[in-house]
Amino acid sequence: MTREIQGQSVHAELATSAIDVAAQLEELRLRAPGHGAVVSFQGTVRSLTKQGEPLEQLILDHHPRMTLASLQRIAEAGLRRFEVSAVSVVHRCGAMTPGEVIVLVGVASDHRREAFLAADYVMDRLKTEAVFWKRELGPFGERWIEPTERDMMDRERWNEEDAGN
Amino acid sequence: MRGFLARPASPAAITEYNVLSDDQWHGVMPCVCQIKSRGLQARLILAVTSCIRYGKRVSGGPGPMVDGERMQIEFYGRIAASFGGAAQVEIPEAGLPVSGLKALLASRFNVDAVLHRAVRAAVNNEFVPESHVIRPGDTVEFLSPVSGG
Repeated sequence: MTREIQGQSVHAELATSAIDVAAQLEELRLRAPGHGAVVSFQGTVRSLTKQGEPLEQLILDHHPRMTLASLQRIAEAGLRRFEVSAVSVVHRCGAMTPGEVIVLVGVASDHRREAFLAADYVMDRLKTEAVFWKRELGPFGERWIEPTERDMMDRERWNEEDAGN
Repeated sequence: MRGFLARPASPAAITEYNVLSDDQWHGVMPCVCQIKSRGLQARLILAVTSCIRYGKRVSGGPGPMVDGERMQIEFYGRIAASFGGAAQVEIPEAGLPVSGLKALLASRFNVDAVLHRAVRAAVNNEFVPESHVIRPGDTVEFLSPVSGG
């Protein structure tokens, strides 16, 4: 779903299969032609758990309506807070294996500084507020994952109220 | 919260019970109660007609559940496994606060984890507080704390 806000555009998408990063970034670049900077971040599935065990699968459960709404809300917040022209958030759900892309955040703007900041901000909010429930599977069985202390501190850096979550 | 039965169920000297669910509700609601009688304890649902703060009298007494509308409730995240993803309960026509519905679910399905404040209710796709009154016809879901992306 792509939405225009005062000539700027936000794209939020929940992907059920592998994210085509090149196609998404090309689409972002074309949505904001003539701007000087495109910054992107890819989050990928780690091969080891926090406890150092081998990870076989990461599973992201989602909500049929609230998950996409949360991606949209976070992407729009990034666009509003910084002087940027376009924001894309593409997030996987379902089962993934190590190395796969879980999330792609792309920001286009006139200047690189704002684009870097907006991407960083959007990622910090996604890590704590996006409506997903994560489980990891491995030789240890199945384990639920919750946001870490560090994720929470990263989120607090931006000095904002929790946005209705 | 601790309550007292205004009309004991029987002369069998059930003299007090603890309401294990939230205490901010005035109206008809089912509460999970712990009954003490002659040193024995039991857990059951009572229809409480007025529920007030700790140490004060709770009027009403044990009674049948109020007839109401059958509602399908869905669960997401860790809590979903305890309910097999969904559950059906009767909601009184007058409605029921989130805390009361949690108490009903905990008792009916024997899942205490749903009582935790971190398990949040969403009504019609928006998060609502524990005091929010759910009405028949609402779309009600319970969500475990999100993991983030």
